[in-house]
Amino acid sequence: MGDALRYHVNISAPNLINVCIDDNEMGDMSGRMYCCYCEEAVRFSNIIELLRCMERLFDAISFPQASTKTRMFLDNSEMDISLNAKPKKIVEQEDVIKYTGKIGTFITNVQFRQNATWQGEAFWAETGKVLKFSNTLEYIRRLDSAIGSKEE
Amino acid sequence: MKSGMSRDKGTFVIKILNKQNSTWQGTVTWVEEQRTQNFRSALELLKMIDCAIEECGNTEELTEK
Repeated sequence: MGDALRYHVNISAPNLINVCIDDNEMGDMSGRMYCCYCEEAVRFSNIIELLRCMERLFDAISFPQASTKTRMFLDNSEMDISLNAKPKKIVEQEDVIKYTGKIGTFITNVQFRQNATWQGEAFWAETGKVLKFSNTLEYIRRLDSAIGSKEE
Repeated sequence: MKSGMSRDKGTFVIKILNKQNSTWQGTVTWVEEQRTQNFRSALELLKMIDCAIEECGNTEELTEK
């Protein structure tokens, strides 16, 4: 997917995430996630876990910086994670995008975190399509319909 | 809450009041703790519930020890 990929997604983004979907049992996606700050795959068993891991990464590297601070029921939230030492980039983007999922590979670039949600694009490596999203719901919906259309 | 349901993770009452920026805004009430909070997006709502459940799980673990 090398050459085609270079034209469709900004792989120099520091928060580039390769979402590899391996399974879609009972409509819940599971798989692996790769980023520049972790050598090993981060496994997720559902979409909530994926969103949680992604959001934690963005908070840790402060990129893209959130325009709002997430509200919580309790004050002792883990939102001040960004005050801790920032993780160091240990993997090149080229290595992040080399992995593929069993049923789908989505190179995701979250560009902004405005309105307490995400805006960005995901490159569906298998088809070369770019899935733009303006909020998290749309991101989930787009991944889901992409996976769904492939299964049919 | 019924005593038989005390092991349940949590009950949340969600009221969606708006749909600006193509996402949801509204209020969510954590029934067991009697706490209400406003949310500005579906992601924020998700994170609130996720964090509340995690918090709930941690307390359970501590009390079990």
